[in-house]
Amino acid sequence: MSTKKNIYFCTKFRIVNRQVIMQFTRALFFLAVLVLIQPVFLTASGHAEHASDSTESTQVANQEPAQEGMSMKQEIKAHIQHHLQDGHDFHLYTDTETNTHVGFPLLVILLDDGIQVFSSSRFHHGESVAESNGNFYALHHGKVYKTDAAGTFEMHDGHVHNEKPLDFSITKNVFSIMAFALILILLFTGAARSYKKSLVPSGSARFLEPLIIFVRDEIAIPNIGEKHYKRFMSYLLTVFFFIWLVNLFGLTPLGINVTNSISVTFALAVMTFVITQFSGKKEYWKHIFWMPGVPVPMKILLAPIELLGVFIKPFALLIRLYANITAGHIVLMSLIGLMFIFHSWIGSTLSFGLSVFISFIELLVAALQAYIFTMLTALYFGSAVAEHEDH
Amino acid sequence: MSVLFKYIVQITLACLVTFGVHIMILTFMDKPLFDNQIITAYVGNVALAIFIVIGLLKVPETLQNSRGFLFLFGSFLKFGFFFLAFYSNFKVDGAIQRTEFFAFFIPYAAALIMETKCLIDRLSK
Repeated sequence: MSTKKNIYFCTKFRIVNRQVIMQFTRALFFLAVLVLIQPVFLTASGHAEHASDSTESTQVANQEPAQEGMSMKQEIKAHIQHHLQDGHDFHLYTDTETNTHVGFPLLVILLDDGIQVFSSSRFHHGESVAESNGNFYALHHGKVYKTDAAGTFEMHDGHVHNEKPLDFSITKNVFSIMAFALILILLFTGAARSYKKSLVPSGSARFLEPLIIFVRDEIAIPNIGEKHYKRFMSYLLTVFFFIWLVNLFGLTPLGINVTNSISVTFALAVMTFVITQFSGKKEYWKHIFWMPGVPVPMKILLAPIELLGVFIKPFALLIRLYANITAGHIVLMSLIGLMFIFHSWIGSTLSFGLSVFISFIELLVAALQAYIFTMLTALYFGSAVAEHEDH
Repeated sequence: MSVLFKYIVQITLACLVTFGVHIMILTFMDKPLFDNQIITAYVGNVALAIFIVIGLLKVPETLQNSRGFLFLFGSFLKFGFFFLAFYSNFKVDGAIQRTEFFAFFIPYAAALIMETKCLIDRLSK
């Protein structure tokens, strides 16, 4: 009797898992949306104008400070800043003696005088002016500016005032998002396929199943409720695995730093915001505009506060992820940098030990941030769909 | 009297009273009465508030739960209205003056309160 019951339970359990995974694979379009809207936020982050009162002109070759002219501290600081920035190429290593860069170029797509498409190798890692259909472009701190053939930057108060074309390039972050989307699609379609053959998980499903069950049983159901959780599972799983994967790859020496880009966390938070507001039931809106169970003066006082909260919640979501990952990277790289500053074996060994320890902490942070983002997203969804009897 | 007509009358009356008080304050402060597109601000805000209220009342049965979302969308429309019709004119001299700000904000707030009242009535039903 007991064995029969167990078999029935396991079969039902697997069928539910398969449904969840199938749902997830269908809903990977969220990542596609993220890839599509991310360049828009990237270009929106600053649009420099022509300045008539420019006071200084510098040429492209002088923009990147020569490594040999910098102190060790400055070099470490520049290296950390470079690591935190998005880029137009994958730069793995520079041989300072021969001045050769190891990496691979990406596609530059600019909306300027029509569409300009060329390889980022034309920039020679920011040392050259790229020509495309008679237009000239140069890089300054990882951003593309329109210049003359000599690559002159009009500087004023330390800022570049050259025209900045709309940049829809496949940057390092965009490329990484596409790659991670592909990895997730391959992993989850593989897992879904394995359930078609047998209800016993095999391959990637053996690793993914407990995680999916964790998201469902520990995040979705407790926060959203049994009745409504299913329709949000695809988004929650996408967000969880996407953030976790990009955070983990951010710890590798590949220089991938997706969640360190505020445009990415912003896009994720906007998606959470839109889904929450669009799923909002009558009770949710009533709790915002006319809080039940409190006196009328309190209702009037609470309405603007609650309405502000609608926007503050996703804002906190985007800042939390961005700040935690950025801080982690800065701390880790600073500790690694200390190894080169200390000229004693004790100091270098200590900073090495500390950086190894922080690396392990960062592994935890990578998962923790994915968990927190998904958990809070589920909490917002839960508050949006909560019904009166749920209180 | 239909519900929609009742709300239209309430919004119009509330904004008319606000306009009267606004003009009175401007008179006491010796400020120009009809500068800073004040008429456009009142007419535009009343028109948008009526449009939003129509949306809230006539929303299809399937979207009854999304009234709050429609309300938020209405606020975005108002922001759009401000940036399209006022912002560039207010920023001609480089900064938005206090009278310019209040010329838009007071009718906006009055209309918003009436819209919120309509939304609360609908949500409480």
